[in-house]
Amino acid sequence: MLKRLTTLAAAMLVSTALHAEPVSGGRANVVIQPEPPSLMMGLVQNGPTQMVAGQIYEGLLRYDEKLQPMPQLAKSWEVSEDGLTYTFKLHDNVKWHDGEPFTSADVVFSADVFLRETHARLRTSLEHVDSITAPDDTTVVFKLKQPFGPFLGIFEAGTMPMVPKHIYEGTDYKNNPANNTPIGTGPFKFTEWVKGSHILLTKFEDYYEDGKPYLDEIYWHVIPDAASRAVAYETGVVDILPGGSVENFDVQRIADMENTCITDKGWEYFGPLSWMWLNNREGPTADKRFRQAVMYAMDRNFARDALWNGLGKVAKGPVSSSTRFFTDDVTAYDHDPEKAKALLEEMGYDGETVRLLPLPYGETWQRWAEAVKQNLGEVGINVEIVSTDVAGWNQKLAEWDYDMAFTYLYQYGDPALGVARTYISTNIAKGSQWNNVEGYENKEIDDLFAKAAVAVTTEERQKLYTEVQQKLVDDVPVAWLLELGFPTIYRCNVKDLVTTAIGVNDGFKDAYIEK
Amino acid sequence: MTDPVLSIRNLKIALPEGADRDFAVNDITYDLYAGEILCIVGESGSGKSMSANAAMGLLPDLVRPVGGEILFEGTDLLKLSETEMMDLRGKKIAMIFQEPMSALNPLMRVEDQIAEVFEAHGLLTPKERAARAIELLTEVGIPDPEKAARAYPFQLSGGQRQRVMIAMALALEPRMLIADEPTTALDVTTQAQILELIRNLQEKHGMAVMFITHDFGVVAEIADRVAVMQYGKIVEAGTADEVLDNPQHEYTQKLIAAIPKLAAEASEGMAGKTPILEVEGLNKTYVTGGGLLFSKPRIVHAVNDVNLTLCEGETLGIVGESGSGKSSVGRCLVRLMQPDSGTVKLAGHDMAQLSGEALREARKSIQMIFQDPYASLNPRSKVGRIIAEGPMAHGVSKQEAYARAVKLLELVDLDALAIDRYPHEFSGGQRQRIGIARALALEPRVIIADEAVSALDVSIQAQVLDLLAELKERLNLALIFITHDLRVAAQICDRIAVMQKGKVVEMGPAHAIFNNPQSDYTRTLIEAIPGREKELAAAG
Amino acid sequence: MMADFWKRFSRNRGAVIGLAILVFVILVALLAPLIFPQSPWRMVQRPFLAPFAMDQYPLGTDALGRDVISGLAYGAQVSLLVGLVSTVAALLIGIPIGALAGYFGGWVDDALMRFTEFFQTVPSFALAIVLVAIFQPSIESIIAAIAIVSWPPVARLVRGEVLSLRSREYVEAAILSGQTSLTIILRQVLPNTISPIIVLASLMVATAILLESSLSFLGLGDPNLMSWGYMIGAARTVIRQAWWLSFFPGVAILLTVLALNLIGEG
Repeated sequence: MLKRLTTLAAAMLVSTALHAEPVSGGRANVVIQPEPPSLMMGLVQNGPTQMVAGQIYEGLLRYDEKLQPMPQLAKSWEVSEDGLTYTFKLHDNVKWHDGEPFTSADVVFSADVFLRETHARLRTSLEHVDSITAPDDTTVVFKLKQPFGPFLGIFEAGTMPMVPKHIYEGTDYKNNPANNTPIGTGPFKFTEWVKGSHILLTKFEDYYEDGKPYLDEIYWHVIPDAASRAVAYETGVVDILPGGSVENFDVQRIADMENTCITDKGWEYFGPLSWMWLNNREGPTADKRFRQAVMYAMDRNFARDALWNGLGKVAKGPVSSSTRFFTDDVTAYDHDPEKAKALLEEMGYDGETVRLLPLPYGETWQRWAEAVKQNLGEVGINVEIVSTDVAGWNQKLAEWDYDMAFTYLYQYGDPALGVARTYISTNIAKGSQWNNVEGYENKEIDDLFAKAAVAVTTEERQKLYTEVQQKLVDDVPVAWLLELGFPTIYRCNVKDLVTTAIGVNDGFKDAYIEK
Repeated sequence: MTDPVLSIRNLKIALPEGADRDFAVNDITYDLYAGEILCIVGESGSGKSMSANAAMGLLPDLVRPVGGEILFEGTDLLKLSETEMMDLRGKKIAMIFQEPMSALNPLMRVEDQIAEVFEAHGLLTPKERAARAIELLTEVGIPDPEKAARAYPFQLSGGQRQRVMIAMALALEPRMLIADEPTTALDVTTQAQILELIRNLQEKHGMAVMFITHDFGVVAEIADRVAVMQYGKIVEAGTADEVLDNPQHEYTQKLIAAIPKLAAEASEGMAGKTPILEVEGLNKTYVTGGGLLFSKPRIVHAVNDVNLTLCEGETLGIVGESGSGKSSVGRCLVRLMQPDSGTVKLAGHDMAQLSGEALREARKSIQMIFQDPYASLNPRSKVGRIIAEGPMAHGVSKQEAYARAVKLLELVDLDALAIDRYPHEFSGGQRQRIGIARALALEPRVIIADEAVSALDVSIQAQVLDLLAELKERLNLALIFITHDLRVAAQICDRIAVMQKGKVVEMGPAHAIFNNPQSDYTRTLIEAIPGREKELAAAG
Repeated sequence: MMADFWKRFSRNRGAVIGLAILVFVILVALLAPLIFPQSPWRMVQRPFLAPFAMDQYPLGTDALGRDVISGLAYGAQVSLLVGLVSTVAALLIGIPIGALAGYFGGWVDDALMRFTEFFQTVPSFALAIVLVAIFQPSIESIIAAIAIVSWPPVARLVRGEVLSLRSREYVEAAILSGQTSLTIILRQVLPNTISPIIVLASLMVATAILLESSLSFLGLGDPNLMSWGYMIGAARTVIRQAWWLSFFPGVAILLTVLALNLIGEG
C-alpha cells in the first residue's frame, strides 16, 4: 500500500513537469456526474453545472493554485490605497457566442442586477459594495462601503459569471427560453444536450485569446453509476474523470493503469474541509476537554491513507491550507490515545453514549464513521452510529438533534467567505447545515472575524486570522478531519488540464491533447 | 381333491427391528383350493393380511419374508422378479381392498379404469375393452351399468365402488381372488349384498377366494374353510362348521364367545321410571354447495322431527346405517351441533336454548364417549390431565380433581399409575376406558356413547360393553348408545330407536324390535346381519 | 417420544449435517468473545491484507484493516440473534392470529385472514426496507421489520392446523367438559400444531438471516453491529480488489441458511 501511494504521488508530479508546445484539435471525453439541472450558471451554481458551464461562461478573473488573481475577461485591475475602489480594465475584443460584443455594460448588468437577484452567496459579498459603474465600454469600477478583504476573491466564473445583458435585461430570468441554449463568452459554446446521455460543447472560433482553446470539442458523458464510470475510463470511452467521479476504492486501481495521471490539485479555491460537528450545547461534547480528547483519539493519518488513498491532508484547524491566511502555528493534535484518556479522566466522563451521524454520501463516509467510532471506543468513548438517509441527515442537523456529525464544506479561498460562517455566534439558527450548527459562542472570536473581514492590509488580516485559528484550535468547536483531496484522473497525454484553483471547472481553456 | 391353487409352506415374515414382535407371520402353512372360500380371521395385529400381501408382492418396505415358500400353481412367488409378478397380478391373482375409494383413481371414469386393466396386459382393442367393461359392470350387479361406466368414483356409493373394484378384479378371469376386509367399511345391508355377490361370482367362475376378515359374522356367511390367526400364527384351521360350532382352541372359543348375541332379553318396562331426557321435534338440516357457481344448494335433512324419551337408568339404542342421522342426533343433544328447532329437556331444562355459562353448567350432566379411541384423547396431554381437566374447568381444585381421576381410573379397571402416562402408551381398549373415565369425571346423569365400541376388536369390544353395563348399574346412569351394529345394540340396550334418512322409523323395547320388527327397513337390517342364520340354526 | 424423534432425525443424513453446521455456528457465536477478545471493528493490520498472508489473520483484513475472521465470528452472533428473535416475534404475532381465525371461524376468520392477506400481498422485502428506513436502522427496528413481514405464513399454517384439529374428538370432549375457548386453544389445540410450526420456524430463521443480510447489504443494517450482510455490503464496492471480503461472509450465510433448511426438512 505504501509503495503504491508513492507511485501515486509521483504520478501527480508529472502534470506539472515538462511543458511542450500545445497542439490544436481533438475531442475531450469527460464524465459528468450527476447530470446538471441546468447550464445557465447565473441561475444554478451546483457542482456539475459549474464544471460544464465553466467552459461557457467566464468571470472577470481566474485564480492560480495560490489563489492569486489572474486575468480573464479583465486584462488588468487596480485597488485604491484605502481599499474602497476596484477598477477593472476589460479586453476590448470579446464577443458573446451569438456574435454580440461584450462590454462593461454587461458587467454592470450581471453583477448589479442579474446576480444580485439570483446568486445568494454573491449577494452577501455584494452587501459591502456601494456602487458599480462603467465609465467607458472597457472599464468597470466597484466602490465599496468599507474595506472588504476577500473582495478580489469573488470574481471567478462560479461566483460572478458574466451573463449577456442583451438577452436577459428586462426578462423573467428563470423562465427565459435562452436558458436552454446558454450564451457566454467562454472558450467553448453550447452545441447539444441529450438528457441522460451527453452534453456536447464545441470550440468558440471567435474567442478573444489567440489560439485558444486548443480542443475542437468537449463531450460530457452522463453515466449515473460509479462502477460504470470506472469501467468507462478503463475501456477508453472517457479520458477524464473529474474529482468524485469514481468511488475512492476504485481510484488506486485506475491510477495504476498505463498512461494514467492523477492529481488532487484544482480544488484550492473550494478548499473542501471535512470535520465532525460536535454539539457544543449539551452532553459530553459540550465539554472542551471532551472535544480535545476526540481530536487526540482520532487517527486521521490512517483515515487518509486507508479511505482517501493518501490524498488530501490532515487538517490543522478551521482554515484549509490552500485558503488564504492559513497558519500552522496552532496546537497540533496528533494521534495520542493516552492524552485523550487523561482528558476524559480529568473531565470525569461517565461513559455516556454519544450519537454519531455519518455523512450519507456513500461507502467511504460510512467506513470513516466506523473507523472514528473504533478510535473513540479505544479511549473509552461510547459511540453509537445512527444511520440516516440524506433527508434525515439534513433534518437532524437543522434541528441540532445530534452529538457528532460528519460534514465537509467549501471555503472559497478566504476565511471571510467560507470559514467565519461556521464559528460566529450571529450565525446560530436552526434550519441550515451551512451555519454555526455546533452552537459555538465566543464573543472574542466574533470580534476577530468581524475585524479581519474589513481590515485593509493583508498583514493585518493575517495577524487577526492567525489569532482566530489559534484560539479556535484550542477550543475545538468542531473536530477537524481532513482537507479532502478529490483526485482528477486523466490520460497523461491530456496536458494543462488543471492549472487553476478551480481545476477542471475552467481548465479546458488551456488543455490540449498531445498526439 | 385336486392340487391347491395356492399353497403356503412354513412362511415367515420378519418385522423391522423395534416392532412389538419379531415376525409378522411365524411359520404358517395353509392351502387354498379352486372353488372354495378360505377365511383368514383374526383381530388387528394378528398378521392375517400379511401372507396375502406377500403373495401379491405388496409387503411394506421394511417387512420381508425370511423363510418358507408361497407356491402358486407350483411356482414360488417369492422367487419371481418384479416383472414376472406384474404379469401375474391381475391376470392370475386379483385383489380387492377395504376402502375402494382410495384404490380407485378419483380423476378417471369407471370404464377407463376397467379398460386400463386390459391395457396393462395388452389385451383387446379399445372398443372391445369398453364393451367388456359394461359386461363386467352388469355382472357385478350395478344398476344402470351404462351410466355407471361414465361416472367418476365419487359419484358412486360405497357399495357401488366396491362392485367396480370387484369388476376390475374379475376382468381377466383370475384363478384366485384375495379380498382383504372388503365389507368392513360398508353398511350392514350393503355388506350382505356384496358378500352374496362374491359368493355367486366365486361359484360361477370357480375361483379360489382368500377372504380376510375380523368379523365372525361374515365368516359364518361366506366361509368354506377358516383359519384363525393370533400373533402371527394359525391357531386353528378347519371347515367353517367345525370351527364355528365346535372351536377347539381357547382363543377361538374366546373370540366366538365375545360376539354379542342377537337375542335381546325382555327387560322390565320403563313405565315407573322418571324421564331424564325428553327430546321433541328435533330438526337439523345441512346445506351444502349453493355457491355462486352451483345451480342449487343441496339440502340434507340430517335430523327430521325426532322425538325421544330417556328414563333414568335406561339404555336407549339409536341404530342406523351411515347417513341415517343417528350421530347428528347425539351431537344435537349435547349441543356440539346447533339444532334448527325442537326442545331437548334435560332434567327439566331446555338444552337447546341455553348458551354461555348456563350451557357449560348444564353440560356437566350430559357427557359423551367418542368413537375413535385414537382421535378422542389429546396426544400431548397426560391421562391424569385429560380426566381432571373437566372438573378443574368447573372450579374443582387440581389436587381434588387428580384424586378423583385416580378413582375413576380404578373404576374403569385401569392402573392408577396411568395418570402420568400419555395416551399413545395405551391400547385401543384402554384408551376407550380413559374416554369413559373422562365422561364420568363430571358425574353426569346421561352419557351418550357414539359408536363407542365400533373401532375395537371383538374381544375388547365385549369387555368395554360389560364395563359400560356395570357402570350404568352402579352409577344409575342413563345411556344413549348410538351404533350401526345391531348385535351390540341387542346386547346392551333396553329400548332401540331405528333411524333412516333422519327419521325414527321404529322405536320400542329391544326384544320387540328383534323378534317382531314392525317396519320393512328394520326387517331388512336384521336380515342383513352376517351370521344371523347360523346363529338361528344353532339356537334352533 | 424424544428418542423416537432422534431416531427418525438421525436417519436423515442431510439433517444431521445441517445440525452439525448449525451447532458449529452457534458455538462460534457463543465463543466469539473468547476466541477474538478484541472488537471486530478494531483496525488491526494494514487494509486489504490478503487471506492466508499472515497466520494471525487467516482470512485477511478489510478496507479498514479489520480482521475478517473475527468479523465472521461476531457476525454469527448478530445473524443468529436476528434470526431467532425475529422468528419468535413472528410466531408471537402469527400463532394467536391463526389460532383465533381457525378456532372461531366465521367473521373472525374472515377479518383476520383479510388482514393477513393484506400483509402477504405486499412484497415482503420491499415492506421490510420501508419499515427499516422509516424507523432508522437499528437491531430493534430490523427485528421488528422482519417479524412483521414473516408472520403471515405462520398465521396461515396455524389456522389450517387449528381448523383440522378443531373438529377432533378430544377438542369436542374438551368443549363438553366445560373448558373455555381460551383453555381449549392453549391446552388442546396449539400443543398439537407444534411440529409443523417448528419445521416452519426453522425455515423462517433461515429466511430471517437472509433478510437481515439483504437489508445490511443495502446499508440498512444496524451500523453498530458487525453482521455478515454488512460485511458483504461493505465489500461490494471493492469486490474487484478484494474478493475475500465478500466471499467468506457469503459462504457463512450460505452454510447457515443451508443448514437450517436441511434441519427443517429433516
